Amino acid sequence: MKVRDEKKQQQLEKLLVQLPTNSEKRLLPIPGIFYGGGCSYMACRGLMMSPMDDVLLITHGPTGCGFFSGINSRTDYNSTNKPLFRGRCFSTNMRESDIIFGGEQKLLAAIEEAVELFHPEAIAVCATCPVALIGDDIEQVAKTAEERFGVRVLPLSCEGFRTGAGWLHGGKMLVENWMGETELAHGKYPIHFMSESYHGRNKNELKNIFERIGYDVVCSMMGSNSYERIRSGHQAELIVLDSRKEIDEVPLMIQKRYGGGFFRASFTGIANIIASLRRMADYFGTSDLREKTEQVITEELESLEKQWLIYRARYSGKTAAFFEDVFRSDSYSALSSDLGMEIVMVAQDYQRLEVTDENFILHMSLQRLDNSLQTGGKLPCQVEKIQDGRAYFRLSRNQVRQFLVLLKPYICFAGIEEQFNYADAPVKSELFTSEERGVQYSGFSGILQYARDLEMAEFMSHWLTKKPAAWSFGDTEG
Amino acid sequence: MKTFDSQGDSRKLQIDPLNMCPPIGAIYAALGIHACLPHSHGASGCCRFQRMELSKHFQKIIRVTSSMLLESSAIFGGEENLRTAVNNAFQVYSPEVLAIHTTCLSETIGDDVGGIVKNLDVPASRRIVYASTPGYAGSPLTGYASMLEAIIRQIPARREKKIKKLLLLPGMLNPSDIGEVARYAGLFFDQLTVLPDVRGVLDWQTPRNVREYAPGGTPLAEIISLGACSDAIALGAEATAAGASALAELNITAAQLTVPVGIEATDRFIESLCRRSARKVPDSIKAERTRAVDVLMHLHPTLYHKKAAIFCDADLAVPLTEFLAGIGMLPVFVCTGFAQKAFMDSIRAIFERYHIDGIVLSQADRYDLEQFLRETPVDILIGGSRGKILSRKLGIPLLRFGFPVIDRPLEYLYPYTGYRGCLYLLQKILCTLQDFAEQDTLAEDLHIAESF
Amino acid sequence: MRQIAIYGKGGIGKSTTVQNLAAALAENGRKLMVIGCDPKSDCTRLLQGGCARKTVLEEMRSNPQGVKLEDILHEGCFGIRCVESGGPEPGVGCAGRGIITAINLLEELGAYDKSLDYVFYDVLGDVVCGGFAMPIREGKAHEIYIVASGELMSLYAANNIAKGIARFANTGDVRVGGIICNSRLVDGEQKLVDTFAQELGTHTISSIPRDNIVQHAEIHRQTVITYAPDSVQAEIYRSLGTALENNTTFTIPTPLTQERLEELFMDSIQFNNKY
Repeated sequence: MKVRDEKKQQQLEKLLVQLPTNSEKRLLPIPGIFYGGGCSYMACRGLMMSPMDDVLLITHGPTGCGFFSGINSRTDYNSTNKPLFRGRCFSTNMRESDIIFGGEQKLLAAIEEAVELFHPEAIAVCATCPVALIGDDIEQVAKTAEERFGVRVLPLSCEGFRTGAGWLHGGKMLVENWMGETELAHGKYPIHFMSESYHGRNKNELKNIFERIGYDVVCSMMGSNSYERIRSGHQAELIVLDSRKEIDEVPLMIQKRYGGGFFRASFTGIANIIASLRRMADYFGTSDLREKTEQVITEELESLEKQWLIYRARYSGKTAAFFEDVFRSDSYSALSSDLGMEIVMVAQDYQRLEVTDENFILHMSLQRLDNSLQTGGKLPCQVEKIQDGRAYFRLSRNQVRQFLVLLKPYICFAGIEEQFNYADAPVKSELFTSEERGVQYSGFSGILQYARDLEMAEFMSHWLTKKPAAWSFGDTEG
Repeated sequence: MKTFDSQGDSRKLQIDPLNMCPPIGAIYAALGIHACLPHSHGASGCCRFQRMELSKHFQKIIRVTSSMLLESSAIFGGEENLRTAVNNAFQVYSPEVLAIHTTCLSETIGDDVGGIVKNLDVPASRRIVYASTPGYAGSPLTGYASMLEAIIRQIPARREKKIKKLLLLPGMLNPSDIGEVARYAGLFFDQLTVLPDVRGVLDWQTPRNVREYAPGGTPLAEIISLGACSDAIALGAEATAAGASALAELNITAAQLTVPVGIEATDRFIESLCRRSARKVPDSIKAERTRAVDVLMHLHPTLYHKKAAIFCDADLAVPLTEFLAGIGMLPVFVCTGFAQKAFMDSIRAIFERYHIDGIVLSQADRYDLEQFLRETPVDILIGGSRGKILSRKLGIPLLRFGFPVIDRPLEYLYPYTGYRGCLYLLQKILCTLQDFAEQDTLAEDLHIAESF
Repeated sequence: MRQIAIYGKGGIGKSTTVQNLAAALAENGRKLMVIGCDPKSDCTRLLQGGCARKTVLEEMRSNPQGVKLEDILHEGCFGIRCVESGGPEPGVGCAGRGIITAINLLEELGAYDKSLDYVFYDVLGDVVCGGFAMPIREGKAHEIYIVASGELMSLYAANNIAKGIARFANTGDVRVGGIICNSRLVDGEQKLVDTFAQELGTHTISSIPRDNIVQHAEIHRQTVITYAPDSVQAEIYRSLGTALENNTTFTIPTPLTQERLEELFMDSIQFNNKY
């Protein structure tokens, strides 16, 4: 075993800053205004149910919903023995006549066929909009199917127009119906890592860290998961939630039923990961776990060190601004801060009801604020509160722009939905940090992936803004 | 084998659906109007799914607003939300045309969108179009057709003075394909209206400012004076027939042709243009055709009796089947998720003409296709991206064709229509077959140019 | 072609009235079509001498793409064309959606023949959801008659229906043609219904007294017109037909408030008690 170099680690850790995270909720949908979110069905089927490899999902509804959500499923790179129905997409294909005459019989027949063809252990039925309107009793159908075909059927009333979030409904139903049914052998420190990013690269990365410390991830709702793991999910002694969703209700429900601990953590950005891992070790409180945790942190930092410091040297002192939705901006500002960038401004949209009066929350360090004011800048609006050395404002979209002019950040991150149009920043980022592109930044090495993407954005901006076409001179002369 | 040659509806469980729902077609058609904002009168998720699909096909932001219907709307009707939404959309995004389509939800509630829209305050010189597109009735082509019909019935002014002008209803094609058919039409008619025209919209960067719109699309003024057109040609059947018959109100009779994919279908298109314009076929088109036929003659031996299975939308499947059959291939299995009755008849007629012992299926899913292919393997699959799992499973190469192709970028830039499109299609088929054939050959055994 | 929708509280005698009315008009040489918008599909029973054979939705369900007009259009007495929309069993599915679909399909198939003089829609009960308003959406029925009696609940339902109509009248050109009073032998019925109609901004187009001959005819699966052509009741239906044919009063209804409606009813009872 390698001897830990405590001094060096402390030096490295000194580089890290813990940034505040925003607890505000995400934008509410407003009729007639572009909205990036999906619906209850999408969230329930795509986020909560589809990561479970061995549960056969039947969309009870018209063909479209099934078709579109078919690509929404995750892939778990490590699992072997893929079930027969993996990669397929099932639907009851409701037609006009099913809407008029009711779709219960069709659903029952569809479940029977699914059992005959694919022999799943468990089936989940996800309802779409028309189901609730025509009053199909999917719970009764599920009950009948369980009795008749000897298969578990979970009915999910996640109709698209439901006001409650789909993942919440899905999570609750899983806990209520399937959790606590079976016991499986597990490691000494069983945890439930609840995170939608626990799959693919992220999963490999985090699983590796957890296993080295000694944790056993027995269940992972929304992440890489299975029917058996849900059934034995109550065995976890600690629930760690790393998610953008307001899903606390589900872990609290599990906690109430089966005891154990629960807290929110973040595994994006080095400072966040270290804090989260230490908190987990504190929960179990054994010295071997604490020791292992510190050791893994050291190892990870060491393996990162060389590349990280190179990137850090490049980006250190550069200023960054964020004009993003709540979830992404928190992750990205943590990552940027780990690279030594100064986060001059974080503007986040939050829950609002009016259309014309767009509300943003913006926070920035007091020092930066002072600097800008001393050089003759003028604040577009009043400070709302000062907390932990940061000033908070509540302001409109236009005022956010004025702040950007005032602060002149080197790089500005803005989401597609924000449709940000700030021409003066030397580096603009719009698309590169998109999870839909399949980029994941969790874990220690996430910082390197992030730095590479940042570099890419820098190069792109250089290309687009600084190099006009060779013929453009002739153009202007003519 | 005989079991497949039916409506394919005996199975209640749909496994791997082949078709999307009508609203996406309605959005597609609406985007072909200049400065038009599609609006989905439904829950928030519908248009999100459809935007995602379009975004992945065209690699750009697609903007669609929604009424965001909630539980209360399901009980009390969606009127309130629609009013707010229309107001907000005009105020915030200021589109010239707002194209509303319905969804499963609003259709089942029974919202009378027409009645609601009549009572709305629409800003001066702006228009609202509304079409009924329940998600459980039909295919994207049905939705496209409803929206096109709505545009034709609701916007144009009556009593326009006729001029020599062609109205082209291209159907649900990629922008590049519309470019190709419009190029042909432009060689015969000096004045041309393409409705809807997604060129310059779906192949154009979406402007960053939400109040700005891409430069393409059929201008509103041109749609208002639609009645001035003397002639009309509608391509495809399911996507344009309803619109074409609505043209009767404007005293325009439309020729209904198949989408010009392949030599024969293009021949018919050119012939129709030629007759309607009373102009001679330009030498440039003759040269294109000569080249296409020439190449075909040359490549024929490599294609002869290669079997193909086709799964794409009905309007493209018909000319594609005809083309493949015409060049000596055997399109032995043609299926689509939803099609009108005429589709089966058209395909059967092609089978008969070329003496192909083939099977045609509407209301099918990819599981039907899979079952068929397990019994009767083919050489090539032609259809959308979602066929790739099947392709890998069965070891049959896949040629991505039609809409949506979401896993290979820029597919929408290359036209399959017209004589030049024939060549591109041919090349794609040959490359797909050849790549697959050479895939497992040892490096030492590879012939550099054996087949050609 | 006049398209007419008949609404009214369930069990008030809509279907009987519509069928007798239709028979009276057809006897007089008019060409008409009766569309039953009721999942029970018994709206044209008397005209056809029995329950409908094939309903539109049933046919559509068994043969989604090949519905032919002749399979769903049945000829009843005096050449009346009868169509039943049909619908789901009680407690399942969506009957409202069924009506929308059925009427759209009829339009597609060309059931609305130009040679027709009248199209009657017999719509079940209340306008409970969007689907039941389908017949009065734009391009469909322009005239509406409400069947009512002197019972409070019947007038209450009629008032509710008027609310629905007022809604559509403001956007389209659907109008109320009048109230048909189907007598329930309530005291002061005629006067009450008349006042109600007046306050609603319309009039009582006709009053149909209660007569056992109607029940007899129904048992024999016939309309009064065919069962007892010379009876007084048959004559009353004929005069309803004439009144409807000559009707020129079409108004946008002004629904009463709940209080006013109850007040009317109280007045009527007091009036009767006094005398």
